[in-house]
Amino acid sequence: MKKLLLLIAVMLAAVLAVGGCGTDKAAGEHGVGKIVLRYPEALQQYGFKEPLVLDKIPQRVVSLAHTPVLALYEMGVNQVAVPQNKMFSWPDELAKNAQELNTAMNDNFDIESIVVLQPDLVILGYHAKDSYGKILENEKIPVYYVDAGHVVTYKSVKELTDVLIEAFGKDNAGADKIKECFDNLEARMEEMRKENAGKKVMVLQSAPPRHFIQNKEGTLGSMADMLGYDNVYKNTESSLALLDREQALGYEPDLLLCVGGSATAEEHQQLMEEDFAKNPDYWNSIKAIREGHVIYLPVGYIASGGIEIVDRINSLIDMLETAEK
Amino acid sequence: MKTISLFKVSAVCVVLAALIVLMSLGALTIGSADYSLKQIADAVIYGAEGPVQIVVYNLRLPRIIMALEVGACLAVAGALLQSVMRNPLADPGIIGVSAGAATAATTILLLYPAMLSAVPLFAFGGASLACVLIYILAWHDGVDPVRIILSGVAINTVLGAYNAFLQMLNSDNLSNVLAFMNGSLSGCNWEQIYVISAYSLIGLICGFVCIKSANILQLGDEMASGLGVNVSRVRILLSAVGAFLAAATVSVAGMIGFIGLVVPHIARMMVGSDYRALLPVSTLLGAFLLLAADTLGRTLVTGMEIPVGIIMAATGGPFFLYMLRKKGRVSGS
Repeated sequence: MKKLLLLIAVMLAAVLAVGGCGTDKAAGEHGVGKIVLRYPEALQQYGFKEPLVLDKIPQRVVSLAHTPVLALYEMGVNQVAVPQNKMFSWPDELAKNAQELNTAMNDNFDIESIVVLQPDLVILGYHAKDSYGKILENEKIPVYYVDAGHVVTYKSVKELTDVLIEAFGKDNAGADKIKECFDNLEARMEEMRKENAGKKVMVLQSAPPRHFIQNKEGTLGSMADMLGYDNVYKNTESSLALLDREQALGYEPDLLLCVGGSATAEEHQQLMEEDFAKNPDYWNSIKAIREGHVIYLPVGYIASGGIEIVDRINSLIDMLETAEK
Repeated sequence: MKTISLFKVSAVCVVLAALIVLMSLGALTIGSADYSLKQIADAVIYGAEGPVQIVVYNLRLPRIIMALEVGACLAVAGALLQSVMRNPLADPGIIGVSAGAATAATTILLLYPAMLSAVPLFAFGGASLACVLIYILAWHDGVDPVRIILSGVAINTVLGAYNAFLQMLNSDNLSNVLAFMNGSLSGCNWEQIYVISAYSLIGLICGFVCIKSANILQLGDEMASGLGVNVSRVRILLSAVGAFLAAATVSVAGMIGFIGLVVPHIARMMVGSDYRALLPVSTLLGAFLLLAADTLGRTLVTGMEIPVGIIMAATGGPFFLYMLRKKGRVSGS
């Protein structure tokens, strides 16, 4: 009897030990207090399988991609350098404390200027893994790779933000605020998806007279996709292509989203309307233009800047709701 | 110089003209939707309203006219410049037209997007200024072809570096710059046709007026001087006409290469080097080839347009190599 009770007690203790460790599996696996930056699914397909594990919260982060900057800032992670931003301005406090580097989307930058900052974490676009990434890793500087470049979709931003919140967001008011913003946006987008079901959108990125059409993988195209619109341009070869004007006559979009290099929507509207006026018979053949369902957007909708995409999409939803009224 | 056979030249011109007509009719009928000649006639001649009229009259017809005019201008510019440089590799790019236009356009597109509508004007201005700069730098008691080429290389390199640097700093938003650099006739409208037609008419008339001067330059500097010709002045005049024609095309269509380089060579193979035959044949051949390339570019891939500059580069390069192998030596005069 005693032996039986002892066996039961041992088994119970073992079960409790395993169950108790369940929620801290990650920490247990990598060590308590470790910061684990796993790779989202989108990056895993590029071969980034093993998470980056840091011994402690980094104190000198150098971000060379736009995507994580604002999320890290909101969570109070100290960034000593951030990429220069031409689409919008970084928060004043961040701009004051962090050096702005002209990293030109990770294509060409001075690697020495990164190393001298003595970073304990560098966040880099995955395209640069074999070039700058290798150099930094050889210097024993931890490098975390992210989706970067001209087209970073909402999904990609969300996945990265979730990873950063997992790593840095424990008991963090900033992380809670970010989660709340995303939750609110998701709710709004869900509403929009119901309202816009079956509606078609054409997304043009233009510098008149040249127009490019975006599919749902483009920055603005992906926003429209999240809002339930069906993108008329189905070609998956490239997210952006020179507009085939003859083909465009057959699209019959319910909505036209126009984005360009102008600083304001009004400037871009003026340029587009001047171009439309040069060939009114053609442009009025496109349903959305004919019916006046056109929304003009400034340069900030061309490339993504991380979690500010939440504000962008919220603004776009506001514009769509106003246009509906 | 071989005596040209009027009959042969006329025959070549008639054949090219016929090809242009056929190609134009073909370009009117084919595209994302194919239309019959009757439908096209109804739309264009009788003004029958509907999608056919919109496509044919508002999209294809201005584009065909633009292709013909741009092709003709570039070919004539190339022919004239080959006479000036006495170099078979001369084309409008060598005198800075392309680099100057690209610099001006890139600057506006990336730094001053609010002034987009003025890109053609600035591109023309940039092309002209670059050309003037090259000739000023090349001037040394006259204008020597080698000095022009060397100055051209230097200016092209510097401007190319500036363009690359600007693109690097503004890599977020390069699609429009790339569209300009690749050269495209997409989005052509009747307003642009009126502009390019005015430029083409003036430029081509000036080009044809310069035929005698171009022929004299082919005799060599000493012979030309001996005939009482001011060689430097003639070079500058021909270069100015060539630059004007090239700048006009670059300002509306972006950078389209190989027409100015390859077409005069093909024309020489057909009718010889006498500019009385070479220039008219180059005009027609340039028009035909660019129209063919543009039609191919807009119909090759469904739903996507390949800019004509890319088509010309892809086909012009190998064809130039073929001509080199076939001829054994390149004819530059």
